Amino acid sequence: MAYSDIGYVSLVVALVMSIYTGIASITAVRFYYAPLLLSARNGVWIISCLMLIASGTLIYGFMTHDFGLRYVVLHSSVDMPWYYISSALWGGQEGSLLYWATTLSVLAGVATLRNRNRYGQLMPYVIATIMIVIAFFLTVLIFATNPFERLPFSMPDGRGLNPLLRDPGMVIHPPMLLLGYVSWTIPFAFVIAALITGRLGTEWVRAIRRWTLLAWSIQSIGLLLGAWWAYHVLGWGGYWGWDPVENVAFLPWITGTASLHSVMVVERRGKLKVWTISLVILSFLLAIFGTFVVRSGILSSVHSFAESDIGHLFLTFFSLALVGSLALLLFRLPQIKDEEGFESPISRESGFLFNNLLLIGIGFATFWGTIYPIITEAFTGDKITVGPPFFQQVNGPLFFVLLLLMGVGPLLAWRQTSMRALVKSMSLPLVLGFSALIMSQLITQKPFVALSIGALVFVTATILLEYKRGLIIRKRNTGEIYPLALTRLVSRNKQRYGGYIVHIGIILIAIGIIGSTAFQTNREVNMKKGESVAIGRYVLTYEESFSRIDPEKEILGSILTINRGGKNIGTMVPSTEFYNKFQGQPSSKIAISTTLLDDLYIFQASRPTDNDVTLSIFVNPLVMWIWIGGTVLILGILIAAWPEKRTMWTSLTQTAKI
Amino acid sequence: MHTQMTQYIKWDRNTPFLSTLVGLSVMISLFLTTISFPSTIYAVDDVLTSEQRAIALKIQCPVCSGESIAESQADVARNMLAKLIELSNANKTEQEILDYFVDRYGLIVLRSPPKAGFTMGLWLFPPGVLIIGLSMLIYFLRSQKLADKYPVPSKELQEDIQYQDLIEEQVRQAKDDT
Repeated sequence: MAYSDIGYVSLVVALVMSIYTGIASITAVRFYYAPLLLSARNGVWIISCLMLIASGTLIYGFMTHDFGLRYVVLHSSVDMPWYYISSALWGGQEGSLLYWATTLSVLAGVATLRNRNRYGQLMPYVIATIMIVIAFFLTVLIFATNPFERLPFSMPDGRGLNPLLRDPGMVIHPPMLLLGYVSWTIPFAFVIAALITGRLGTEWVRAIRRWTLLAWSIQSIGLLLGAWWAYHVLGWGGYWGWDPVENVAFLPWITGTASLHSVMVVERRGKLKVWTISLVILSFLLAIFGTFVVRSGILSSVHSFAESDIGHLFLTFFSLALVGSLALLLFRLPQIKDEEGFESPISRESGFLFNNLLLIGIGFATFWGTIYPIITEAFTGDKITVGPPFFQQVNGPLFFVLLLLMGVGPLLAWRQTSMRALVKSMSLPLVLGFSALIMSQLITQKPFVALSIGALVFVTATILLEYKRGLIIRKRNTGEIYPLALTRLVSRNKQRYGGYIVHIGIILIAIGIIGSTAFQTNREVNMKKGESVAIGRYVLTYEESFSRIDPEKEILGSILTINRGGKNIGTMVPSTEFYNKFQGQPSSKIAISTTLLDDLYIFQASRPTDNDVTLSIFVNPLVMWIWIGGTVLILGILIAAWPEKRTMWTSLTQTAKI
Repeated sequence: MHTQMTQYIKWDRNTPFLSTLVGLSVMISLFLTTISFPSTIYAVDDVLTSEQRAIALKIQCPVCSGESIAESQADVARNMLAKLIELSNANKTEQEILDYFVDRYGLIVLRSPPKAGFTMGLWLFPPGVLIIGLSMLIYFLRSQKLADKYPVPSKELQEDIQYQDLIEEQVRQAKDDT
């Protein structure tokens, strides 16, 4: 018996435990038997421990270079630095599914712990739902794709990690994205619990909002890190390629964004319950879809899907989850009562409806473009590609309208707003937006860019005005000085003003995206020693090439001196690495010099010889603002989600003061 | 109270806030002027002109996932790029070049499938879904028919509503905390 059997046995015990825990928690609440509920709760924590043991066992296998384990052979090698062990852990199908199940069990543990004294009626069903999902993943791990499979004999060395994955971004980006998928399970479980019990009251809404925000935040971070990794590693000067794997990660994020907005209508006005429930269910299903698309190869071809060993299992689970939650929703439909209808089409809640429509439109177009190659192949036998031109053309206008709505939305009052009041509060932003539009049209001569800039200025102005309005009211009522009034304003209305900060983050990201797509310049040149090339405000001189031989790889690079706007700013060294074990896959090390205005981005398009090299040189304007915007967005999330410390009493006295 | 609340949005009041915003848009515009420089001072020949690159971006590398032949370093892609440059230098139009590659490799090399034949469905469905969604949304809002019962309130009532919202928010947060 090898140590790796500990991992396998943990999985089997965890599967048995998850079935027991699910049944126990439902039985407990059906028959009002408290000890069984406590037992189920302990079951959740035991499963977390078992899964951590299983993951730990696999990590131990990697650390000790146990090349008797198939997974370790396939994803690591002796010469691999220790810090890439973790990326090896989720470098393949078995490991990433193990990671999925482990993080879900830990999340379930946290949710159980945090809510041990809350949501008494809901929690047993929440636990049971999560247990079903965990049991499914464990079944896949145990019966179809066992990460602890041993080879009949030990190999001398492993195949190593794909060079593309040997990057710090790869250590953190996939686990974040996967964790984003995983965390959709919790709001989904709360929805299922509410549908079963029929308890869709305020406490349920609060739980949904919190856990949806968590899942959405993790997924946002995952997507941003993915963009960052692509930009720094893939070498085509871009950060988002509308690649199937990116698209499927984008889908739950988009539906999640929609549900984050519609849940506010449920919370404030007691409306759109069914719609919000559907969005949460959809996000979970898309998260499952994303997990399995990445791993099953369904999108590269219909045939590879049929051959995949886990394709059928996933499809079955997906269909069961879909049919099950739909049936449950239909069964409860007559009892889900929304409060009185919409007062006016010009109101905050209608604004959210239009926001949801656009988001769903973007989501559908992305989904459709992603799966259309499969549909085409199934019906006509032709293989087709749906690439960035399609997505940009279809989603571009939708994003534009969404951006505009982001400016109008905050100005709309709940219930109803008169057209006059709306126009009045929009007048200044509109004037500013239009002047920005005209100015940018005169300067850039690109109507689409001018429109976007106009929209961005308009939205920024409305958000700043919202802050200003809040500040003025607060200062008048409390007499606080401005800085204090600002901090109090934000900290007393975290959800609202944090949300606005998220919007500002989105605007900054949009500035970066528009700048870098509309004004990217590129030259691909063959240079000899001593020659110079100019691009944008930069002049590059090719000094010499160099080569270095490491134990596991050979590095060939070129040394360039860079001149920016007439001033020498030093050297940049793009290089290419040839790993011994991956000869056919040279990996480009891109040289990037970043400023707030633009990035100079250089990679070697050919293997450098003694006296010449072909370089691909990009000037990518404003890319830095994507990362700045991402940071602002995360900051906004933190503010919006920061736990409240106030009591009922202080809050009521404040209300009285106002 | 009402006039105080709305004064700040008046266009004619030259607040520091307004000038900040104007300044911001001027800055953005200046930003944009600096980044559209022409860039041909030195006489190194480009391997690929920007027109050729624009065409290359429309052609998918048949063996790579998600990369065009402008981006991919795979041998097939580099060869296709060389062919593209050859065709382009022989004064072929963009359409002729695209057709050349479709003839040899099939539709898979087009990153934007044709708006004809079976792939027409790709282009028609998303706007279709959006239009259906929009009609459903409008139908839903109209079916509520509550706008008639509640006429647009007076200014005072509007402020009342906002005030009420504020209280509701506070009470809700207070509930959250306990």
